[in-house]
This record gives sequence, C-alpha cells and structure tokens, in this order.
Amino acid sequence: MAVGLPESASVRGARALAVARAVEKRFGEIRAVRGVSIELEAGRIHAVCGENGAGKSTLLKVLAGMLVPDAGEVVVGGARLDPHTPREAIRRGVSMVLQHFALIPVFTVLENLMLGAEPTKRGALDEASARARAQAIADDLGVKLPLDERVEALGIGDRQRVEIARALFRDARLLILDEPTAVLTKSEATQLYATLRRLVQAGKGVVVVTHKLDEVRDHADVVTVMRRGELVFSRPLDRDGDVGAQIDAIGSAIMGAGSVAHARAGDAATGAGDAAASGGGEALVMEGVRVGRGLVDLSLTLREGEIVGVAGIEGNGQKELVAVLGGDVAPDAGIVRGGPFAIVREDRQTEGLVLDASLRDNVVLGELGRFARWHGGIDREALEREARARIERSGAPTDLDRLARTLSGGNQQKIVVERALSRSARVVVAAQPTRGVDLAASADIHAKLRDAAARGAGVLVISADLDELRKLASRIVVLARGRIVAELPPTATDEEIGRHMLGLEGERFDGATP
Amino acid sequence: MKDVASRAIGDLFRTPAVAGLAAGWLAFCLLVWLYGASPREMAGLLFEGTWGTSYGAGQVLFKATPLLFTGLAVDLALRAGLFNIGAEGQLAVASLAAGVVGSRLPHGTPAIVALPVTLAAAMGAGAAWAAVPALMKARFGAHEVISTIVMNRIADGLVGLLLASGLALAGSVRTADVVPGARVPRLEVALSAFRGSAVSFAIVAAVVATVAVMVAHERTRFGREIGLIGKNARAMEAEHVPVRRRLAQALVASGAVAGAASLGTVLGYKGYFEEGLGAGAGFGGIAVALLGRGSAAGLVLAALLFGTLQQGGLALNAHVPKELMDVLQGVVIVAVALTDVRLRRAVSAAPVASTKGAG
Ligand SMILES: Nc1ncnc2c1ncn2[C@@H]1O[C@H](COP(=O)(O)OP(=O)(O)OP(=O)(O)O)[C@@H](O)[C@H]1O
Ligand SMILES: [Mg+2]
Repeated sequence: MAVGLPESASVRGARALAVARAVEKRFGEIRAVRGVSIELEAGRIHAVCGENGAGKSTLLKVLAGMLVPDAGEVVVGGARLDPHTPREAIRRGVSMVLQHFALIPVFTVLENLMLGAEPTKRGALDEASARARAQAIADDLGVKLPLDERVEALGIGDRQRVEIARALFRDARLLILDEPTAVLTKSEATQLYATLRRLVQAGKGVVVVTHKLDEVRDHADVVTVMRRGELVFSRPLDRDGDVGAQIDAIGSAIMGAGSVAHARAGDAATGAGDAAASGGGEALVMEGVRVGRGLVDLSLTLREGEIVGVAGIEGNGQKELVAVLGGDVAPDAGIVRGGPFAIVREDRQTEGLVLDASLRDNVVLGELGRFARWHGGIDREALEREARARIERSGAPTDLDRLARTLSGGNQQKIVVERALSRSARVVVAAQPTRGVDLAASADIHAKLRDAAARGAGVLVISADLDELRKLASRIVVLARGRIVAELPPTATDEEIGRHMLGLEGERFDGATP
Repeated sequence: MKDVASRAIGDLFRTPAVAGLAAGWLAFCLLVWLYGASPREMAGLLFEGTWGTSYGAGQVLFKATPLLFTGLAVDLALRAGLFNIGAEGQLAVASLAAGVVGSRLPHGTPAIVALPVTLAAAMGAGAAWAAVPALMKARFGAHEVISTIVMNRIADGLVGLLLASGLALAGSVRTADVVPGARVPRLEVALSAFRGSAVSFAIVAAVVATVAVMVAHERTRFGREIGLIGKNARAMEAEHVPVRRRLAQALVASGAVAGAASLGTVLGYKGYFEEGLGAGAGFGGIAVALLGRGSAAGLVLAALLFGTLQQGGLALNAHVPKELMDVLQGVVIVAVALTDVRLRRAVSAAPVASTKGAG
C-alpha cells in the first residue's frame, strides 16, 4: 500500500516510531500501568498480550496521546509528544483503533473516514478525491467498504474495517489496533494480517493487541507481554528457533506462574450436547422465519441441553437472528416458539451495559422488578446479595460501586455473560460470548455455557471463531443469506464450513427461490 | 506539569456550576459598570437587600420556593434523558386548578383534608398537562422539547380563556380565595424573624420533596430504571424494560412535581390564583436543574441563588433597572447549558456514540 512515503530513518538512527519510558498511569487507586518502557518500531508487527485488565489498552492509549501519563515520557517521531493529545499523535503519524469504536453511527462510512482528516482542496474537503482515496485504501485492504452506508447499519466486523481504513486515511505510520480480530473469523483475521504485513513492508509500524496466541505464532515479529500493569517482557520472536516453546513461554508469562496447562485442559473438554442425544424436549423452534431482508426463511430447532453453534459471515442474518430472539423485532413471517430467553448481545458497550452505572446496577440490569416490593421500593439487601454472588462468579473485579466504564473490555464482557447466564432461561443465545476475553476467562465462559446446557437450557452460540463453535457445540449450523444452509458435525473442517458460509454449496437450497 | 495545571483549570471552568457563576459575576460587573455604578457597591447592596436582613432572607426563600419545585421537576425528567421545557405550562394549569378547587371546597373544610385535596388537584393538573407530550413521546416518539414548548403556549391561552369564561371572579382575572384550610401558613407564624416576609411553609415542603425524590431515585424501581434509561436507553430496551412507558411516566411525574410549585404561589402566598402568578418559575426551574446537577443540595443551592438574584434585583432597583437581574439569570442559564453534558445528550436527536470505555 502506497499511502504516504516510507519513513526515512529518524534522527536518532533508531527506527522507533514511538517510545514509552517508565510510563505510569493510575486511575484513582488502580495502577493500570506501572513504569513500563517499550519501543514500537517501523517494519514490524508488534503483538501485545496480557490478561484482561493487564493494562494493554491503557498503555497504548498513552502512546497514542489519548491518556496523559502520571509519570514517565512518550517520544513520538524522535521528540517528546507535546502537547500530549491524540491530535498531535496523529499529526506525527500515530493512529489508534480503539477496542470499542469511535465511529459516528449516523454518519456514512465515507463521512466517518473524512472526519478529522486534513482538508484537501483550498481548505474544503474534497469529496470526490476522498472517495477515490477511500476506494484505493479499501482495494489495498482487500475489502469492500460500503462508503455510502450509515455506520449504524453495519455489523461489528465491517465497523472494524472502517476503523482501520480511517487510520490509514490519516496517513498513519504507526497503526495501533486494539483487539482487531476479536470478532473476525479466522480467514478474515488472516486476511487482515496479510494487509498488515503489506503495510509493514511499506515501512509502517503495526501494533496489535490480541488474546489469540495462534495469531502471535503465525504473524508477530515482536511480542510484548503485560501483567498487572507491568511489562513482563518485550522481545522479537525468533523464527529460526523453537517457536512452539516461545509461544508456551508467552502463555505462561501472560498468566503468571504456569497455569496455562490448566486453562487449556479446562477448555479442551467437549462433550456438551451429549444431553441432546438423550432426547431433551424442544427449547426453541423457529419455522420459516423472515425478518426484513436479513432473515429470509430460517428454520431451526434447539433442544434442551443442547449447544448449537451458528457459523456464518457477518451480515448474513446474525443481527436479525439475535434481534428476533431478543424480542427487539417481531418476525415478518414464520413462527418462533420457545423461551424464556437470556441474550448475550455482541456489542457490550451500546447494548449490553450502562457504562455510567455501577457494576451493581449492571449485573442485574433489567431485573429490578424482581427486587421491588409492593410499594415500588427496592429490597436492597436481596439485590446486594444477588449482585455480589454474580460479580464473584463473573471473575471481573468485585467492587460493586465501580462504574462499568472503568472496567477493561474483557472484564466488561464477563459481566454481560454472567448476567445472562444467571437467569434461569430455557434458551440462552450468546453472540460472540468470549469477544475480547483472555484465555483463562474464555475457558471459564465456555464452562458456564456448558453448565447452562447441562442444567437443561438450549444454548445457541453465534461466533466468528470456528474453534470456539467446534469446542462447544454438538452441531454447527451455517447461516448464509438469511437462512440456514447447512448443518455440520463439530468435526467439520474450516474449509468445509467455509464453503457453506460462502454459499458455494448452497445452490441446491436456492433452487426454488427467485 | 504546566500542561496539567492549565488543563485542570480549563476543566474546572467547564463544570456547569463554576462556568455559570463565573459568567454571572462577569456579566454583573460589566452591566453595572455600563450603568455607571460601581460593581462592588452594587454587590454590597445586593447582599444587604437579600441575606443582610432576616426579612431579605425570608424573601429569598419565598422566591426560591417555586423554583425548587420546578427545578426538581426538570431534574427528574433530565435523569431519564428528557428535557421538560414545559414546567411553565404545567405550573400554570396546576395553579389554576389549585385556585379553582381550593376555593370551591366547603368553607370550613379542615386543613388535613383541604390541603391534600387542593394539592392533589394541582399536581394532577400538572401531570395531565405533561401527559400529552408524554403520550406523544410514547406513541410516536415525538421529541418532548417541541411538544412541551407547544403545550406552554396552549396553557397560556387556555388559562386566560378559562378565567375569562367563568372561573375568575366577575370583572377580574383571579379566582376566589381558597378556603382557609387549603392555605399554607406563613413561616412568620413560627419564626418571628421572618415577620413581613412572604415565605411560607411551602419552602419546607419543597426541601422535603427534594430530599424524598432524591432518595426515591436511589431506592425505588422506577427511580433507578429511569436513571439507567437516561444513561443508556438501548441497553435497557435490550433487557426488556418498557423504556417508552417509563419515559412517559417520568414526564408525567415531572409535570406533577412542577404543579406542586403552586404550594408556594397560590396556597402559600396569594391565597388565590390570578393570571400570571408564578410565571417564569417554570423556566427558572430549568436553570435550577442544570445548575443543581441532580443532587438535593445542588438543587437547593441553585434555587437559593436564583431566588437571591430575583430578590436582589428589587434591592438594586433604585440604582440599576431590576431587569438587569433577568439578563444576569439568562447569562447564567446559557453558560450552564453550554457546559452541561446531560442537556446536550437530552437535546441532540442523534446521540453521538461516546467511546470512552476503558478496555
Ligand atoms: N477510565 C478508567 N477508570 C478507572 N479504571 C480504569 C479506567 N480505564 C482502565 N481502568 C483500569 O485499568 C486497568 C487496565 O485496564 P486496560 O483497559 O488497560 O486493560 P486491558 O489490558 O486492555 O484489558 P482487556 O484485555 O480486558 O481489554 C484495569 O484494571 C481497568 O479496570
Ligand atoms: Mg483492552
């Protein structure tokens, strides 16, 4: 990709695009980043790993000028970042895509790309050239960007791509991506890394936060591990050496004293859905369901005690499926029978949480009726007991008075999942349940989904991560163009599932429709 | 570090209370100076005329009474993310209802019956007036800012019309006197220091109501739910909380509280309703709510501030026109409004996603 010239070697001769020296960042009592020094260089894909709440996002936000450090300094482009603002960081070529997006929903994709970018012609934004440039970036990324679509109409994967395009649009030399692959399918992620590789070869620097060690194994040049706010290490991956051993070392560095094996073992256990074989009743029946243009003719049966995985490329009806099961919309045609439902929605920040409310309010969100007395007052003791029990099960920080906003992304996710699973629903629908959650916590959430099934709930898991589906589900259904086009056993390969997702095998289903 | 300090000061002036007070003070100095008077002298006079004597203090409390009720009303709606500009109209119809019902009770009705009945009529009328925009919001999603403004205009006309068509005493624009039992006694009855001042026990009721409503926000299902809706309606909807119904209920409750302001005007002061009584308190309540920022103490202090300005205008009238105080109030309101996040959120039809999550 040829946007912007490759940077010539900086003044100091080093290729560091951004440097943190002994950076310290506190939020009240919490020391989110503790004296971390790190160099981010051009020509490298730099992976940053660590548990939820380790301080990854905070450190990178400091580097991108979004948070002012309490101590230490940040050097960008050879000089101290001063003033310490995102605008100045962008001016010097550092652009960060946040874990939770910063796009403006009511603007179109193109408008979002142009937002805050430099004027191009006599002080006015030149839309035609912006469009051409956006197109060029999209082509380079190997993706389609619906430039005239409003962002609010896009799914989360598309928004992710728009965010990256936006950073490139601003001529980023150092591109910082906070968990960009959390909601991408493996092939989408591979494609993203290919793009990043091209950027890196053109002389840019790329930083990627990820919880997925196989991505580190396959794509990273340098790996930084953080733990509880501290830097554990930051070093290149030696591709000539034993990569597997290095990845294991990274795994144990992330978790602290060697508990990797434990987490892996915990998560490897399959075998949920066996209950289905023993013939549970129907927990959910959908017949010929149509919702807008998203779901065309969807039929699906979910039995009690069974976990069914839903695979598919985003935008093929997932949003509508969740919406119809969550009761946001009524189906235009067809039958939905079953419930009560507990839903984990994919966008935790807009749909799952009230960010400016306490964790107490958030873990029992929407259930105040249960705690209300006849006079409308709340039984605060009962609420407190329930909230405390849930927060302790969730694995997130347990201070109930904290605002949800102050939790790290993964910890926010734990709250949303725990809330849904704490309700004794007969149908659990989980969209991207482990999005942004670290390895240990993922295993934990998987165990909880299995428990729910074991207790007799029907569980529907919608995920971009096929490994996750294979691990959990007793069967995988493929959603394409608004209907279920295939049902496969969990042993199906990526290629097999992928073919159905792309509709390559779907012709016979389509035969009758116009 | 200079960076940090200047940023901190910048932030301070972006807090509504500080911005409002600073802007108010600057405007005061400027206006007074333009009139050729000395700001310091005028400030001194202003203080003497208000808090300098117990009579002055009583008058401030008197002016603050309806403001506290309407401020509480606007604040209640604002918690749910609604901007109730209609307190003015809600109070007008409520005051008429108080005057009419209070005067038609049998003369000897004891206070324990007369006062609650009259108050209920007033609050009911305020609630009913707010119910129209509330229903429009729940049914059609009509923006409450527009509909409550319209309802203010209608209230204006309707109150005059009803008075003229038989509810007023012949040849006047006022109702008959409310029965003695429906009147709220003056504070001077209990505290002789307030002798001559118009302040009544309604100020006590206003403070108690403010505290009670704040507690209810914390401790009742309704209060908590509207607070959460105000912070993220979509998430509440996703959890099947009846968001539209709650919003409508919040607006109706807000109207009822605004109607209670007639305790300080009709029942605590005049003893009857006449056209224009209590006018301006509804809009003043918006300023109080914005400045008071959702805490009981904040609302009380804000109501006292605006009460002080109103009373102070009278004290300065010999030197500078008392309308100067209206300008001053306007300046404070604008400064507060410009810096208030809640307000921006409530008014903007298309909320911009904020992205400040930790993660
Ligand atoms: N605005 C804030 N206020 C208070 N605490 C915060 C805030 N932002 C982050 N924190 C805290 O700082 C710590 C580090 O958070 P950070 O978001 O950097 O973690 P992370 O490594 O990115 O985690 P994740 O993998 O879950 O995204 C956490 O304990 C978090 O709760
Ligand atoms: Mg993070």
